[in-house]
Amino acid sequence: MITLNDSIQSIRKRTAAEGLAIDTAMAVAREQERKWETHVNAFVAKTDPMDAGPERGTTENLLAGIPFAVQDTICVKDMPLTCSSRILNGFVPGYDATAVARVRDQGAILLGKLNSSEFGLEAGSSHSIFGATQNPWHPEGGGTAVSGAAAAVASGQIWFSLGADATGELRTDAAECGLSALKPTYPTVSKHGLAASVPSMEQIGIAARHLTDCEDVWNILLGKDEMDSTVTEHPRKDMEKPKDLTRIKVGIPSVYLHAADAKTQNAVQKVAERMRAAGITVQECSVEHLSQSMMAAYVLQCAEASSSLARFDGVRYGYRNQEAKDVLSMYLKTRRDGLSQSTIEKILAGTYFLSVAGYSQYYSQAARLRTLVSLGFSQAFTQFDSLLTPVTAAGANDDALQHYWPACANLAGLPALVFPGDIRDGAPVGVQLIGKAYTEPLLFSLATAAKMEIDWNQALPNAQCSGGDRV
Amino acid sequence: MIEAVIGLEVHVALNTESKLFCSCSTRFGAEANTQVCPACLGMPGIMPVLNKKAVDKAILASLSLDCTIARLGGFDRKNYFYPDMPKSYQISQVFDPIGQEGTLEIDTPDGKKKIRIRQIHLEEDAGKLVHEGDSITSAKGSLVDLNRAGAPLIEIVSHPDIRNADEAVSYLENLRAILRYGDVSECRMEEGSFRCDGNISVREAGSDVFNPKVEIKNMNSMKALHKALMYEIKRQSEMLKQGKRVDQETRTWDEQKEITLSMRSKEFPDYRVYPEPELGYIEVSDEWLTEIRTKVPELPQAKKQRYMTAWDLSEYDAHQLSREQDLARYFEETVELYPEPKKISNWIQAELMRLLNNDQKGISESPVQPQHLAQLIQKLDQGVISGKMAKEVLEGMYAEEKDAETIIHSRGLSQISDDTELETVAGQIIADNPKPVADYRGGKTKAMGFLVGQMMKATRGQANPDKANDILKKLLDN
Repeated sequence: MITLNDSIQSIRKRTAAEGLAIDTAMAVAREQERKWETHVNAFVAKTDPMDAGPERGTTENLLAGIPFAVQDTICVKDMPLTCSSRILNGFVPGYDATAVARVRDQGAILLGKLNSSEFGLEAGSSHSIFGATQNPWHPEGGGTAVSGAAAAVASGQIWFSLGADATGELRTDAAECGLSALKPTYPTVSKHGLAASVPSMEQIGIAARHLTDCEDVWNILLGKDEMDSTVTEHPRKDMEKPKDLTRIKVGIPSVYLHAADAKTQNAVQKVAERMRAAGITVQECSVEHLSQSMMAAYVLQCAEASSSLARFDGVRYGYRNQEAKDVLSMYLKTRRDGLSQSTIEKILAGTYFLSVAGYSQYYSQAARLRTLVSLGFSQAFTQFDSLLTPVTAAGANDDALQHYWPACANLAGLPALVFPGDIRDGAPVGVQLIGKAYTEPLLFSLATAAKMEIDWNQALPNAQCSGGDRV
Repeated sequence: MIEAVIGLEVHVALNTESKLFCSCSTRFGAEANTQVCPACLGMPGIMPVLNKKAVDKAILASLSLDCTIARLGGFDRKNYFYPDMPKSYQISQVFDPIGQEGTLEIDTPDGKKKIRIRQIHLEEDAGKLVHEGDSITSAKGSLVDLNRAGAPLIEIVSHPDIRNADEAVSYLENLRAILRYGDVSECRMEEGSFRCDGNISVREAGSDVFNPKVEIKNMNSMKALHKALMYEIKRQSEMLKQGKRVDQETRTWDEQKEITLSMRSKEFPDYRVYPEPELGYIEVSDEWLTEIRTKVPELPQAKKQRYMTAWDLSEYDAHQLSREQDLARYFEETVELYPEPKKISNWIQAELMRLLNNDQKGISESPVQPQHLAQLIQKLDQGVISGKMAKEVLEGMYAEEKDAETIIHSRGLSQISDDTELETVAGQIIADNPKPVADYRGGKTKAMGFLVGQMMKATRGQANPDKANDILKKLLDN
């Protein structure tokens, strides 16, 4: 019998060896859905399972019969796109995101659309019109809200999800849920069909229970796309993984490490110990300007969102306030009612950062810092093959900017891989590897050597005993 | 003395098949909202994909105007809300325009003058609003047509080197000629593919002060531009004389009242420009630049010069024939077949253009082909037909779309140049007119005119008059 501990590769092998039906993984997923979805509220829309189409499920396809879902900031043809916002009310795109089309072409079965914060502007799922999504590790509440892209995978309802990562949102939620998640090197994965708020930093990433699933799906997503002219060919996707890890040097940026809370620092140290045990050299290091990356990421996020989300004006599609008497009041009322307060605040800040009054002090400073952060990483990578870090430092104090730690990888366009490092108080603690551009294969090797194994059949509390009230 | 300081901003719609960032057609005049797609409707998740042909044309225009090409350029977002702008930002080039610092030569009463061009940048056009009602303020509602949204434009911005309305018109005419030559744009003002805004201020002649400038919009024809600038120069000059300050503002040309009206003052929009993150850089390689360079045609000014020096045409004729590429091409093709440029120039301008103008046709629609015009002029030079006949033959060629030879034959218009045939006729004339013959022989040379006239009459005008004269003389003098 297939269980949640089976990776996609293992399902393929066992399906062939044991003569299992192609939809065995689907059956497991359905069972998990019945058990979990009312508790976690991960999905905002479901596909008709009949749409999956048996013809997709031939074993020649790498993802044959594997259930997956996408964050609802990613377009699927003929399914409503909400971005978890009221403002897109009724909008149905007539096009598939390239990433969605690529995994479906490999036989993966789309189960639906996943919840996130409005437009994915922050980790979790607050400010979503669909309400918050609960972390299945804390079915009684108590944990922070996560995104559907993390909760649906952790609760076993799907094998992997595609989500958006602009300042670390997908990685943060994946870490909270004990998953592996990759933000690939920018710009090697097509953004066509991703309703990106922060195009210069945002990418489609993958969250999965198994590292190898992340890697397998990543391989399928790569490659040029005529609909996204920024995408470049990944020059090293077939790069040979190092056979001898003893020559690898991993740095831990001190400033990032010490910003995090105790349990996270502890998880990083545990991972470092596992790496040392595998012969890898691990030592603390400094990365210049890294601590300033959060402010830069925040400014750029707000600035780009203020223009990228300006198209939602009620003129052509989506929600329009019907009381408006003229164009200006239509804009004002539509956007006031259509967007959450949190999004409006970011748009207002971004509008100021780009204005004549704020440009030189904010936008151009942030752009300059972005270059400096990239240089800081380049400098560090002359001594280290990869960097081991916490994911967020959000738990350490109340400073809202602490959420933006993982955005340093987005700023510099580097690949970043999150994986479970520890389990503390019954909940997973994730860590992160940031690599040089195009070194995803190395990151996967290092993570494989240093990750904490989670038994997904046993790890989660039993949701059905938890009372079953939706949080 | 007061002089004007004028800079022009010209928006030129490129004549590419498809839009700047998607594959929608750019055809003019289609039914509203039929040439749109998710990209030019600003739908979420759709990224702009640059149309390389538009960049080709922008580079060609820049090279034709002696601009330096930005070898590593990019696009920027210009943010503002308006219902005809689907993304609520326009993708334009603010920081690195593709063409930088060029020149355009114009003719002035004081000779040639170079107008400097500050920049040429690529950008997408907006859609159109149609108001239900008389004006935007009283309209019941407004309809949006996005067919034009995302169509490729270049904006050509001059330095404030223009000093009066005549120079402005001359600048625009030369600019249009160059862009049409390069097949960059049709440059039709009436269709909006060639739109001009002016920035104007006045000052004491010779001063190097720049006073606050007034931007004038809605000048929809060359005539309107000229009138609007004249009006504005006068308005500002009078204010200056009265010691009043001219404030920076935007004014619109009112075609009916023939005055400029204030649209908005001092409120200059903050476009919050920043680099477009969804498009890569435009990297213009040496190969790309060389390829476009070979496509830059001989430009009107150079042609005009060549017509004057190599072909000895007057400046007026050379200008007329070089202004439009189609006409120049027609002229040159004809000259190639029959190397008599001055004669051909006269025939095209005096006769062919008259016929075409009557039918409001352009040279490209001419029913008379260059080889046929060459043939006609050749027949005339050979004396097969007279000058008067030639005009009639041309009209026949024009009406029936046939070559000269066919028309000459079908209308029996060829001159009789055959000596023996003419000698027979001349013999008869001499026999029939003893009195004039005697007069001529007696020294009254005027009688010859009468005899030639009789020959022409007898041949129904088909005798070559020179020949008839020669033959009569030969027969009578012997």
